[in-house]
Amino acid sequence: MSRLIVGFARVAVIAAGCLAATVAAAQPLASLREAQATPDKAARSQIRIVGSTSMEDLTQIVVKALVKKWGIQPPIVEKSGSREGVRLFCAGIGLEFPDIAASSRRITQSEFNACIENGILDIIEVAVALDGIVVVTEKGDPVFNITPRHIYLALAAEVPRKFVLGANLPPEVARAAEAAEGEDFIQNPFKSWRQVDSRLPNVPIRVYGPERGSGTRQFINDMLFESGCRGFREIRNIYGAADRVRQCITKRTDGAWVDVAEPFADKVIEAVVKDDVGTLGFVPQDVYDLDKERVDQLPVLGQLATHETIASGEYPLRRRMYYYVKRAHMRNAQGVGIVRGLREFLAEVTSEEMIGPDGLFHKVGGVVALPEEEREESRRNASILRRLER
Amino acid sequence: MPRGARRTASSTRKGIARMAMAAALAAVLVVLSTGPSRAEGDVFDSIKEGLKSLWSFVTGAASTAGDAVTPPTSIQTLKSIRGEDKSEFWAMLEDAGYDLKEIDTEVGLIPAIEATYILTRELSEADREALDWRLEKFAKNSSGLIALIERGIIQSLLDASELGDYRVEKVKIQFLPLPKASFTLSPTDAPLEEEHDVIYRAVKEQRREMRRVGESMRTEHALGPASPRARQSTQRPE
Repeated sequence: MSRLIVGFARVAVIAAGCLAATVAAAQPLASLREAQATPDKAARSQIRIVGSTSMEDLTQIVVKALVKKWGIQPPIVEKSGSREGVRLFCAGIGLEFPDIAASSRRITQSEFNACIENGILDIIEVAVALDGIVVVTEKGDPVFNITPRHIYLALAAEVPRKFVLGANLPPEVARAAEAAEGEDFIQNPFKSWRQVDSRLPNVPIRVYGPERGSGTRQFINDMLFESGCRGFREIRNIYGAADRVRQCITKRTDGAWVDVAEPFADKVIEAVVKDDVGTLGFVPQDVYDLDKERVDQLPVLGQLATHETIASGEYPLRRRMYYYVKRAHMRNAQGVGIVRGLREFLAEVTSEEMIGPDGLFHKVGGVVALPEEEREESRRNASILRRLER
Repeated sequence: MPRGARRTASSTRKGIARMAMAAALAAVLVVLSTGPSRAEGDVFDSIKEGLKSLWSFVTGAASTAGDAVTPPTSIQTLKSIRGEDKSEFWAMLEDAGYDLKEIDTEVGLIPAIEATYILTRELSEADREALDWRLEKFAKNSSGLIALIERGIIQSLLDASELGDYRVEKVKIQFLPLPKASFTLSPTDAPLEEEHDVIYRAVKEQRREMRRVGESMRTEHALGPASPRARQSTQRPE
């Protein structure tokens, strides 16, 4: 008997859960329709979007859909790079601050804290796509397997002295390294990839990449420079994260690393093609896809970037792309608020038509669709306006 | 309570709860590793099997324990933890910012082995993400109770690294007689111990002295050219 009661109770709980879920799912659509019908008393007529230049194409696709399907005034899109975009986004609430940030990386803890300090308590995060960063070289130039360790050793301003002592360097360079007794790090002496690793080709080190402020730059710092330096004892001995990161990501200023201004991707391709043999560059995968006839990609940790390896996570330089939306800028039930169209933006940017495997982001934007469960989560975040917590 | 404080308090609770969970999971292992289907007469074999299973936690090779009940020596344990073929768990523990401080072994009827790890690095955002990714991969590739415990321990440390006001300074991982992990959580602004206090004050004094020297040099060369050292430092931090 008691089992029967427990059984009934379970069924009742499940039924109640289903009902609640149905109501929750219906609510956002209803509120979106209501919001559409409400007279517009928004303080600003255009949405302001800031951030990633790598996501420029994706943003334009959504903008077109917003204008066409929802009759919203064309948003103002400012290409500022992810870091600057998130900084502006987190600067405050009000007419003069942006409503949406596009970021080619996830918001960091310190950026999130800055948002909270400036009163932006309700941020809605939606992941929309996957992308890969590809290391390219001119077609016909040597193609070799590259690792984060290679990148760090070739391009960091200072490298561990002990490693330099064991490398195959000209005698005068080796003598200089020996003379720096007592130092953990010395100025980077490597001129060719062969000096970094005897298995690599004997071509000069020259790499083009995005300048500071770009989300791609941050990604390269995290995934290649920090990852490449992590294994060295000298780095592990530095307690403070800030000091360690600075030691890992500070780049050479002798021409081995070349900063390219935003929007960087096409400029990098041009530079790689025009510069000397062995010149490398970092570009997003969709840009590489368009220029496959002029450049080759280098395998990273033995993996080539393809839509399949990016989707499966086998390709190591894979990243997610995000939009961040301020809930405080949305209109309320009376149509009062900073700007109209933020709910519509969220609905549009998480629709299967946009981010699905056959969606516009993939077909037109050239990025890779997120796995189904992640797309579902983004849709859930958008529909219930889930507050980001970190 | 302000929202930020509420968030910190809730993540503190979450981190502590995870640690408790990891420790409890470790304790459960010994019960499960002996198996419920053993006959009563096989108690000794059962204990041996249990120890063998526990030792595999350290080495990843169950055969090492052989038929002996005696625990491995500190040197053997050290080799397993620090060697080239160390298991993913020990590598992740290092990536979480912890380095081995000491290994305690006790030989006797009920032997004991315990490894103490101390925090030697603050994690950066990229460190956390890399560890998160590694944990995800580890979860996909390794199933079973031991992997679950190992993941629990690393996840606890990862969560604790985001607490802000507190940090896990010490992790003790005991393999025998009962496997367990214990975490020492301490406030980040805790008063310094005597030895550290002396060093801290000496460094502060040194910095003051360097500032004084720097200022007097600037005054002297106010109208002169920049020093060669100043000219050399052209690297801009990111």
